[in-house]
Amino acid sequence: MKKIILATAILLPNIALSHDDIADQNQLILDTAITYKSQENSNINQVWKISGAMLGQEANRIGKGINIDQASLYGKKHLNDSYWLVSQVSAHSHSGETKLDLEQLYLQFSPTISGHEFTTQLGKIATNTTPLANFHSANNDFSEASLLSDVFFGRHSQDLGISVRTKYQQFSLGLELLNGDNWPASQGEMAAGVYAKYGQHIGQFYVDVNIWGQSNKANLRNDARLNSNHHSSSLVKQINYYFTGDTVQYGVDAKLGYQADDWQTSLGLNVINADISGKVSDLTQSAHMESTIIGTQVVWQWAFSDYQLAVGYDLLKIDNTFSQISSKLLLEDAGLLVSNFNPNKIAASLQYELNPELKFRLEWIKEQTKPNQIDTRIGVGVIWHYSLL
Amino acid sequence: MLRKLLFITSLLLLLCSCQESKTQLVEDPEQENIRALLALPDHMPLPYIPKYNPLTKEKISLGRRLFYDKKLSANQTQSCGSCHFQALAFSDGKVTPTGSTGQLLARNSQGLSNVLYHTTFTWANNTLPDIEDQLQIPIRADAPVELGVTDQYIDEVLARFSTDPVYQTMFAAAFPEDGAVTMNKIVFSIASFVRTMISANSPYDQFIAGNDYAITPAAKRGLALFNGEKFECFHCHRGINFSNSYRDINTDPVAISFEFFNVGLYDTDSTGSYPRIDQGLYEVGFNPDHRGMYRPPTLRNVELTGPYMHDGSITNLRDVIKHYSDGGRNVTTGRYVGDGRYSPLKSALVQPFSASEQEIDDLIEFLNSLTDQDFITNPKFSNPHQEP
Repeated sequence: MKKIILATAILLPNIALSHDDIADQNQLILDTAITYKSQENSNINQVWKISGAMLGQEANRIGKGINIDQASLYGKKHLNDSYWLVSQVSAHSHSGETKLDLEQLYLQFSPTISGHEFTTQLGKIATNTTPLANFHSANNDFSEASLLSDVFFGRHSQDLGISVRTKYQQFSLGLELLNGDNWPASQGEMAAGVYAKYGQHIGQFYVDVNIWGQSNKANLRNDARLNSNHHSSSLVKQINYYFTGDTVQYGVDAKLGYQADDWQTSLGLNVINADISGKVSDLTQSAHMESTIIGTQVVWQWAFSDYQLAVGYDLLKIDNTFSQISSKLLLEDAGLLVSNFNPNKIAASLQYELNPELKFRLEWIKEQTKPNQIDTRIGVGVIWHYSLL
Repeated sequence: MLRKLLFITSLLLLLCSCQESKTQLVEDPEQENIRALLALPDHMPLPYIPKYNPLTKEKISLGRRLFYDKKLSANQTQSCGSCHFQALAFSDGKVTPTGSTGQLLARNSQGLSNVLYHTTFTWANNTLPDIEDQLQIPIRADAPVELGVTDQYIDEVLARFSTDPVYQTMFAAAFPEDGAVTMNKIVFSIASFVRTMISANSPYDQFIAGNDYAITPAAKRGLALFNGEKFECFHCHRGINFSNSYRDINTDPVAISFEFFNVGLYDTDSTGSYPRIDQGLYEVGFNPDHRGMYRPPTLRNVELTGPYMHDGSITNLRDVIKHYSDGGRNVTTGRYVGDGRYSPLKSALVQPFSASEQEIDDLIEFLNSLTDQDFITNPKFSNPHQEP
């Protein structure tokens, strides 16, 4: 039974959809992940940065010690034959503070048009474009988000709007129109996404492929992490800069899995390209910016008995061109200058499933997000899933 | 087919990501020319230069000579340099100066460090967006008289330069299309020279450039106080030039914020009035709400530019800081009795706070780290008439 559950865990969720596509019944699920980290990746008085990249939203530093990576309560309620009400409330801790978020609250219904069912979500929704857009520690191989989740989505992507998807044979096609509350858009400036997913069993192999695209507009988008960095007592006031412009990002998620009798393995590849065009500014200075960021993630998993081993590697290539520059100081302070250096991160994790509700996780992470700094840490944690209904 | 396309796209993106990241900084030749003319360090923003007065080295040379030439005043007793001394970062160390005819002015002589980054000029005038506009006042105004080149004297003054062989050559070089001497050309030249007065090599500048030992630990504490939520100096004295009267080449004129503040120095009638001799921005538009409003000057070289405030009424930096920690000034004796702390026109940004003597010392240490010895000794700003 454990092997079946573990196999399902490997082969399905990363590209397949969220809770609401797996079960067609009322749900109330508690997911928790708590991890002890041996080292931090940024001083508590500073926001964490990746050289050359703008960051924001929830792309927070990793703190030393015990962290609540995730504590979320997901609920789904069947209102009548046609409607579901879905809600998710989550807590994450960073820099000694725990923040509670209403991540999702939406109405779901599935009208049938011309013989096709269109699953529609209306309200505050999590984007379905790519699993990288919504990192949750309890449902991931690793306790920490990948660099791609942070750079391209601010780690969690939830927004007010509407999502419509439909299935056709092995394909799932979706369209989202959003208010722009989430990184890399800014509130009210709108964001839109499309995706096409394909899944197929071929003997003992399983293939998932997803291609997606997203367009985001921002107006004076700032780094929200600086607004909430109450611990800052930095010597120089940490620059809070603003971005106004467009971010168009698109990518491919692909996963190939193999299930043997008593073990399973999979290899996943995620590639994202973001084209950024606009102006970066602080209160007095500015520069025009054209940027292309390519992010690549490779994740290999191997599950056997009650264990799962995973190794992941993230690599970013950032090409920034600045013109009409007031001064280089703005760009230096914002950490947007990068040369001959590709931010990267490698992580290895070993999970042990004591029972279907409780897992232990041991990790090793090595991260280099600035040219002359390598951060290495060990993580020891627990993951708890509990269905309350 | 779709799978092949996906595979090729992924492979291409994967291969692209294996190349190294890079940053390109694109500057156009005109901008590079401005940087070279101004000897602008990398960390200083490209300034706004009005298109009607492009910067050239010939204008700068001419402007420097005119700046220090007493022939520019009607009675030939004063020049710009008579109230703007390089050793004092081009202030004059006086409460308020005296004009060429002996008339005492109401306002303190401001220093000229980095004036090219301001959005308006003089202490309180929102109708002077360019240095060229401001220069008309000290040269041509008659109330008060500074250099006194009123209509009565203008031809005589211009003739002094048009008949001088040195100036004939310099005007011809600076304005090759027409070498005739005019007041506009005098103003354009002096403005060009004043624009070169860049102060950007103080210990603080070296600190932000990466030299952690450039300023003392006390100055670092002072910097934290300056930018902190108690002293809040940064609200009005922010950015690379320590003033929110700021404009550079990229500043959108529409986005320029209102830069005048009433800091509670006076309240002579309990309705917010300042002394009648100078009510600040009110003098320009006669808006009663603008009484006592002045533009925050840059704090660069502030150690040298005392006494302070628009009327030089505060003699030292310690008293300036105490003025702000008191939330304004209560004048209890003399002609201008009144409690500025409770002025209805005082900026909401000026609120009382407690400041220890150590904190004040640290803040002063930081402000002193803005003193740029290169700027006050650089021969390119000195008086050419005194050169051997």
